[in-house]
Amino acid sequence: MKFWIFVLMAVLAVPLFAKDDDIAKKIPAHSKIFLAPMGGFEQDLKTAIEKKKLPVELVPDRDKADFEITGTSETDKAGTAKKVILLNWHSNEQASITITEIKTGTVVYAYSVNKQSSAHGKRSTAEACAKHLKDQIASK
Amino acid sequence: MKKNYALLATFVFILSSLAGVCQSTNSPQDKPPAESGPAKSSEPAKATQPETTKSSAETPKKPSPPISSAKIPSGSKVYVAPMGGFENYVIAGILKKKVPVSIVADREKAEYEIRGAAETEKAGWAKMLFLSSQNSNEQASINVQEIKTGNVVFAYSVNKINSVHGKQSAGEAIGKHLNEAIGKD
Repeated sequence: MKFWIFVLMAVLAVPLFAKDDDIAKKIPAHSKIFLAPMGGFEQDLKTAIEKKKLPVELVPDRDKADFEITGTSETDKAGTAKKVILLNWHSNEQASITITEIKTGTVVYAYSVNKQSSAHGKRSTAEACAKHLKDQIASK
Repeated sequence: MKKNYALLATFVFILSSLAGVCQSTNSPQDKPPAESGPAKSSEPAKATQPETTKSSAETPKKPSPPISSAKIPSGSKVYVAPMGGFENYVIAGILKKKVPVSIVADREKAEYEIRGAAETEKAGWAKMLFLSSQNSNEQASINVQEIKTGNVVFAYSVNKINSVHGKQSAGEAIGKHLNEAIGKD
């Protein structure tokens, strides 16, 4: 009987040696986040964060923030060829954001999105970023 | 008595199987870099030791960072240098592919640095007319340098024709192949 208990303990101890593969760290709820300038995309992102009701607090001062969002956004407006040949007026959008913990300087989350013929332009990419960011925020 | 031997044999079997599982998880990175074969244009350009030939020794060349075949240790702190916005896509790709490294925003705190460049060629009118495709062509190239020694430990270039997700695709390709270059414990 003791032997079997020992075997059971040995089997149960295996997960202790397993490596933690979860690279991305969760962002605590109600964290203070600073949106760095991204050529105007920060405004769209701010609107999207509010629209998606992310449980975070956006602060205008970087010194008061726990996390910083940096990133880039690109818009490829429909040219004449696209309008004439494909009969499509929508732009192609791509954006990428990175969230860094200011205290440690570690990147905790990053996300990139590409939307072809985006119906709502930058708004679509910003909302995609906010939607996925919401999944990364710890509920409590 | 026989029952005890049977139990002991069962225990030894479980332990050996567990050891086998541990070894199998470590096996991919135990492979020497030479086994990975010749690098294609869209495959990682595995860093190899430079061959010291007589002709190269005679002709003076510009000093370039030495190339090392050393693997990047798991859990290393990596800094991604600015690449005109593409660094964000690379970071996103690294995190999406769960590369076991820690990305830091400060170069001083990092052990490795990723540098590179990316180019986008947007679809022209001819491509739209004849191929009915508005996807762009993307190409990017990165190299991972050990900050302390200055050795280039990994380099990779990617070329995506008709990239559906643009720079995101290139960033994820880099993350995927960088994952293979990380030496897991």
